[in-house]
Amino acid sequence: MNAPAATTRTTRVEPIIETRGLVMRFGGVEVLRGIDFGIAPGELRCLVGPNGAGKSTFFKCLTGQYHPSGGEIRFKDKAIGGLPSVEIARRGIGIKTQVPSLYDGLSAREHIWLAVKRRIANTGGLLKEVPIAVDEVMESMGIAHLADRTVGQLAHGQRQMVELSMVIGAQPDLILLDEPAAGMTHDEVERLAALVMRLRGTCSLIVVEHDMQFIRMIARQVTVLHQGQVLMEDDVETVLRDRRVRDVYLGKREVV
Amino acid sequence: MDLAVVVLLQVIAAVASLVLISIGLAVIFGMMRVINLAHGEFIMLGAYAVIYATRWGVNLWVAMLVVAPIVVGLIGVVVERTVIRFLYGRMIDTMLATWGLSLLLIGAATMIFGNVTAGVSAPLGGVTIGEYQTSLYELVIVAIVTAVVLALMAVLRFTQAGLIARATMQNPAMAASLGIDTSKVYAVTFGAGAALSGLAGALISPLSGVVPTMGVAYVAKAFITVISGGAAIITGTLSASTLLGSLNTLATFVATPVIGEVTLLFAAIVLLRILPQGITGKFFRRAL
Amino acid sequence: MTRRASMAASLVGFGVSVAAIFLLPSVLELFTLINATIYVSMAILALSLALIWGYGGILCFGQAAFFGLGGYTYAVAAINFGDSTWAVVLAMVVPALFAALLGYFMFWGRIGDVYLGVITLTMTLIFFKLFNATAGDAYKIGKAALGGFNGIPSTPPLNLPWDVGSPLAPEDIWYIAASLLVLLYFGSRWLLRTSFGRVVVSIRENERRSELLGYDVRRYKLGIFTIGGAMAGISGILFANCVFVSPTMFSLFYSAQVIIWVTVGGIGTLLGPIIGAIALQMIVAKLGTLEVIDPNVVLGSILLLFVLLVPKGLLPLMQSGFDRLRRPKAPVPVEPAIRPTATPAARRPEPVSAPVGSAPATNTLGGS
Repeated sequence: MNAPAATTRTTRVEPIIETRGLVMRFGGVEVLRGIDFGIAPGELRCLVGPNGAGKSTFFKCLTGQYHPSGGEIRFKDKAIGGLPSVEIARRGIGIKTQVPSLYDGLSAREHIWLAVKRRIANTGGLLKEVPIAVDEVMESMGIAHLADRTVGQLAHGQRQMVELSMVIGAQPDLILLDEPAAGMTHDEVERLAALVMRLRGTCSLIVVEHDMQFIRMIARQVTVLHQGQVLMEDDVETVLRDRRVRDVYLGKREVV
Repeated sequence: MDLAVVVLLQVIAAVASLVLISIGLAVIFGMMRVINLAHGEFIMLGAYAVIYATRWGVNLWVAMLVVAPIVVGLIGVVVERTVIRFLYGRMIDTMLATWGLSLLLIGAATMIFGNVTAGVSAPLGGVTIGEYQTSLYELVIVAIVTAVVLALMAVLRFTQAGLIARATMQNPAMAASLGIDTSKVYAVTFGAGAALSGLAGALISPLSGVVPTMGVAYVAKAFITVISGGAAIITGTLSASTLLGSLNTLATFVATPVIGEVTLLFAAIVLLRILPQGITGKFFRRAL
Repeated sequence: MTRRASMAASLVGFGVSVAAIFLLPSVLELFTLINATIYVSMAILALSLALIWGYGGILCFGQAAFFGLGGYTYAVAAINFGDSTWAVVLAMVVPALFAALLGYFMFWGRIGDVYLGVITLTMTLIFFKLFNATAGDAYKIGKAALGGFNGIPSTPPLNLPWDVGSPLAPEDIWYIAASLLVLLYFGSRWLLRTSFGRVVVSIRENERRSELLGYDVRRYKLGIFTIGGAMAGISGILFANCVFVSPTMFSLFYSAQVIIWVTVGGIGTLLGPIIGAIALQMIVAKLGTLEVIDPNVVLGSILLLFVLLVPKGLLPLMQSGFDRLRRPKAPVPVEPAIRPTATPAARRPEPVSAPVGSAPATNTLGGS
């Protein structure tokens, strides 16, 4: 195992999650072409890149929704590549998916309940603690007023918040956020940024975003993905100034 | 030696009859992702079409090969226009609605034709192979099924209608934007599938008694054959029929017909457990 | 409805059903009472599918397999033991075990919706064929001859527990069946409010999400499927006590009927399928005596029309009508009665409210 060697560039601390040579192929198409990536515990990392760079695929590999075609994924120093999603979730990775994944017929409270119940059951806690913890999560996330609303009837931004609260309520060690600010109003984006900053330190986060304003608000380290590979990895200002990164994004604009 | 030939013929006949009873369902499922649980009743109607046509003096072969497919095909178009077209994209609802239709047709047939067994006598005699005898009619069915399958392949692959149908099923929105009347394509496809079921019923009618409930015996078998075959209409049906039909005949040969049937069903269940997308979900993926 | 109104409705419903249970035997003739018992046993079958399909989201076309298995197990065991007590227990355990086995096979194989339907239906067909082929002396389990197509006409009635000398009269069997229905209905409501039940419902709503939260969806599906299997077994026991067991219990006819009851009554509700089962059987029985129209025509048309016009089923339709009547007087504006369109995979109109009347979701949380 040469784990330390691979991550010396970022930090000397043992990374919480790390991929080496991660490859994902669909038929003949190679969507991830050998990704080396790692973040330290408690770190917040932004992942950017044009459409089709492989960001969502990368997340799906990390959460076991896809079984990688090659390479290695290590989480808390154990190989997790190819494990089923359930097992990975139980080991402490939570994800807010790009398209909100919710229970449209259930209330917001029931959403949080499902997350909290899993966490408490996992840690061997008592089920009677669940309702209290549910209230706490909803209070701190500012969605207490939505508790009894059916989630299918909520506005888009509210749905995003419910999903986020659910992910946070499960208290995973690593949170993956796939475009959390998409479709949110300006106020909501600011609240989201504040929230992400608050989470920092209590857990590790990887955030995929297109919204540069949002990235500036939260990020220090940014990784740029392009065509299934890591294009560069640096602090946010350097990345945003970089010629290649701009080309990649301008290229994307032309296409769109 | 004679025995081997007879068993082989039995296997081929069993495979052909599975293809025959499944192909109409396969067209409708493969092209439209509609599971038609009234399929058995389309078969039943095909059989009654033959009974009535021959009673009115139509030649048996004309009744089987022309009248029955046309009658049932038209019924299929009516069903598509009045029921199925409201349910596209709602697979479970289509299953339920066609199940309702199935009961409705059984009931209607019972009221109209009566709950008695009708039949036509099997044409052609038997052929003798050594000390065994097998029916010539079964061999004719094998030939007809082969012809039908080849014709279907040719239509889908080489004709304009086949291309339009395949294009519509692949991407309805794109087809519509190219000026194809997709709803007409659906109606025609469903009608064609129904016509094939009608043909199946017609060819079966001399072999089994014709009763309003006869479809029940076929629908589940056709259903699992098609699902086991997977997405590719012809290749899927052929491969699943070959596998299941052979197992059925061999188990029948070794044990009893009931065990044969049970083996067929059980094999299909195990197959789906191993290959949840059916045979063509794993193999021959690019086949038709 | 508010929680209090829902409680009141439950109490009224409970009261009415208890009254009906005790009044019917004195009102009805014996023959009609036995028929009523059959209806009730079928209502339990409908309830079992309401749980599996309506709440578990598992499209089971083969509920008749568990039903028949329950009936046969009961008959065979009761004939062999001479006493029905353990036969009853076995007749619940065997279908449950079979459901667990089949469920393990299907859920661990990640078999999808339509394929689940095919496999369960096929399983039922296998039983139908096998039991039809059991004519003759060769097919005996202990003292019980399976009897092929004719079934087991000598299916013994229930007796008092461990008291072979006291077989129960049809009236007693009515009391048992009807009380069981009430018990299982309230039991199901309770089950859906437990944490197990809530996770089951969440999986129906969004399987992937529950998985990403760390729930092993296969186990929950297996759980609800097994419970439904046991319940169908109970229904089979009661049916065997009113009629006798025969291969028709495994027939497509019963598989289709139970689907129709649930669809018509309202998938995603518990009460709807029960009402659907009883009402439709009464209609079919009535039509059977009139001999004007074939019952299959009626059943088929009803299913067809409901799928096309009332896909949510009767009970949710009535509930939303009721809510609309009440709404103008409500002091606080509430959400419109329209539900988000359910996914085509499984139609599920009243996801939250059904287990607790139409109480808001709050009530399903906390306390219990």
